[in-house]
Amino acid sequence: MNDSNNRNALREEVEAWLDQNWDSEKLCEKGAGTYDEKSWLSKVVDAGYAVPSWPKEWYGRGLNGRDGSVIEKAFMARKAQGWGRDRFHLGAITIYKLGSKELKDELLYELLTGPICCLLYSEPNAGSDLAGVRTKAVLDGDEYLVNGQKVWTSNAQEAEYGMLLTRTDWQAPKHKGMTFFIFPMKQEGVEVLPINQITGESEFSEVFITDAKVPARFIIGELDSGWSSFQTAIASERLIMGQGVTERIGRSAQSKVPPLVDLAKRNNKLSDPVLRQELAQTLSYRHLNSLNMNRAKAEFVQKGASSLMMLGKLAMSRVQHGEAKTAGNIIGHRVLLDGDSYPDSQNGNFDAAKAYMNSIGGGTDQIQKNIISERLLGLPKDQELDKNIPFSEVKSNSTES
Amino acid sequence: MKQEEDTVGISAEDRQAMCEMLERLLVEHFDDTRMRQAIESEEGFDRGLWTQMAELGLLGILISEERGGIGGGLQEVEAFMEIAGKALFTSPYISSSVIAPTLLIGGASEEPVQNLLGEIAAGESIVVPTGFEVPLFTRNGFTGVGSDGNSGMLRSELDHGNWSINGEVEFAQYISSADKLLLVAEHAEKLHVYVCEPGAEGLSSRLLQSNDQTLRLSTLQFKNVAAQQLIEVNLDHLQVTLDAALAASAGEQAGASKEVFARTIDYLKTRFQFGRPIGSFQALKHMVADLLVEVESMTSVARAAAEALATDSKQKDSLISLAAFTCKDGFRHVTAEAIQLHGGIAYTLEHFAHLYWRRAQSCRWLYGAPNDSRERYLSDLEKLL
Repeated sequence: MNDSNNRNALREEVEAWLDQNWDSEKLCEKGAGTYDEKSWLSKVVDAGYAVPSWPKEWYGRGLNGRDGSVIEKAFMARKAQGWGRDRFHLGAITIYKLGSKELKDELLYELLTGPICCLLYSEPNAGSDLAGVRTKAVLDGDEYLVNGQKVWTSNAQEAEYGMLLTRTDWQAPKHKGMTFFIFPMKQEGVEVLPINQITGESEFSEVFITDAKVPARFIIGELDSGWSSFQTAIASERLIMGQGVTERIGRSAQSKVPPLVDLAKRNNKLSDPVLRQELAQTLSYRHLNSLNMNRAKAEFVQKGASSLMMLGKLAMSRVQHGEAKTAGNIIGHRVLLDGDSYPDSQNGNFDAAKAYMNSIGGGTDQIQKNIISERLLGLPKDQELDKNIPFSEVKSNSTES
Repeated sequence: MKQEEDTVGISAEDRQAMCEMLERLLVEHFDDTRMRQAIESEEGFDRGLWTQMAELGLLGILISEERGGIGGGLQEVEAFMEIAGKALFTSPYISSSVIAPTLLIGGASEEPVQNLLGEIAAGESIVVPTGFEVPLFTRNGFTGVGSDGNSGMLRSELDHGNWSINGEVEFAQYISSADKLLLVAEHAEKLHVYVCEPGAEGLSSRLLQSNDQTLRLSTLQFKNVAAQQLIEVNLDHLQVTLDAALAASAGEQAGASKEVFARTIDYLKTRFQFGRPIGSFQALKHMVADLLVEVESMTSVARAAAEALATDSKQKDSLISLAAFTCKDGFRHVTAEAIQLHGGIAYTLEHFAHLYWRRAQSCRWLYGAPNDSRERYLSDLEKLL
């Protein structure tokens, strides 16, 4: 009762505030004419609506998630930006969780009112084996000099800061000598080059770092303990992915009929008994995954955790690659064509390439299978040839050390 | 998640208690040795445990409390079958306690039917339905048991007020253990359920050799066999009956797959080669991670299908056909890979894996072929077009 009264009061407050400050037709601040991100976000942060689950001291309102969702709904209804930064701004979340008071004082407000941070994790020689990073950070006075290359970075062009995993002690074993930084992107020595993906898109960039600088006080967590700080950051990231924000809302959301059935009908293939078997089998994978996820949610409510969550990514690979392959079999030889004049072929070819985003991105399916078999099923770890030896002696593709 | 338990069957707590009771019974009494004794016995199942289950009311899950059952629904049946499947406790359960009561729902107010249901729940009679799926397979053009032309539908004729049955049934389960046979036969374009004695004059049965030792399959010939007419049924009700059997079977297969998978994982942790547990090899890890997705999917879909049927959900056709082919293919795949993952030890008759693997082969064909379920699943989706 009390809770819902509080929520109603909050809803009225937020709606009144938005009506006063946000022009939901021009999609900008009232009276401003055009959208100014920094100015608008500052207003939202000052009002306590950006990070409602955080304490007042750090721009929040100490609300629980359910109460916070009242703000989200009011903002979304008016297409206003700036809500949910306590759930989606990985940089701010990480500094909030791990940063010292001084670091929070210095950076948190700036981060919350700016674009989201990019993630400088993977490297050409540290993909599946992420702890093998070789980007070097060397202390020089009260700052670190950074050299190396990062890859698969989203939003690198826009980001003002990146979360950077570096190696600071080359004599320590692999997992012991890393340091995690919040790293200023807008400086000489940081070059961003877009990656051209097999889908034709460019969502990711390579980031080349040459003699770039980061203040020593921008270390997140402790020096040489970057791996554990990084684990905190990646846990927040996985939580975001679990909330489904990365899932594409595609053509499938518009109709109850699975798109493949519709595609088969348009291509007069619904009378082919062999194709019907393949079609039913392919469609079953998405259906089964949603049943598993329903069970996971129920277990989560009941026990606070569900191991079924870990199977979702693997199951989605089977779904996406399977659907793309079956779409190709339905379309037949016309998948040879592409472009706007052949939308079925164009979509089919795009989806076939895009499916790798799920089976490689965020760790390959093969890495995921190792994780499932070791953490979920308790199978023993494989031999690690690079464990407990100085990192400088670890074999790698790169010649530099 | 939802509280459907309030509207059908028994409460979630009672279901939980029932499962714990059954699990305890099987853990205490049904080890691998006794399981092998059961399937090698003449009847092919454990009579002693069957009687104990009757005493606990478990043979009457679908039968009302007035008739001595526990008034549950298919979710309880599915839960029961997961546990039975895990222990490879095979029995005439699906025939006598799932198919027979479902087939007879329409006659629950009539005395002969009430008596039969009472006998089933009390464990006094094993009631074996035969030939009930044939009219369905014929209607749907499916490839299942009985539609190969050798064995069409049973026919009934009225002679001086007495019904007599003619025809053949290619496969019937547990005939030598049956106390009563239920038959679905056609007369004047109508289908009725009949009951007859297994020893009735004109009825000949021959036990067939089966690949899977857990099966007891017979072929039946009816020549003017006297039978009592019970109730009229239509094809839709036969579908409901077959779906109940499929839901029970899906539960069995999900439970059995989980068990075989768990025992295989244990083996991978304890078997050493090249100086380390073989479960540390990536090749095997990747196989089992894929299998886990299948095992969990089977459990999810078996439970979802049972719930959909029990609550008469709009999705019931879709979910039961999905459950049927997913569990049939999944059980077969999991048990086949279990043998491969064990290596040579599982190529021996003493090892448990082949028993589940053969059972999986049986389950693939009992109550309909997996390809037919895939076809039905797609047909159901096409209705949305």
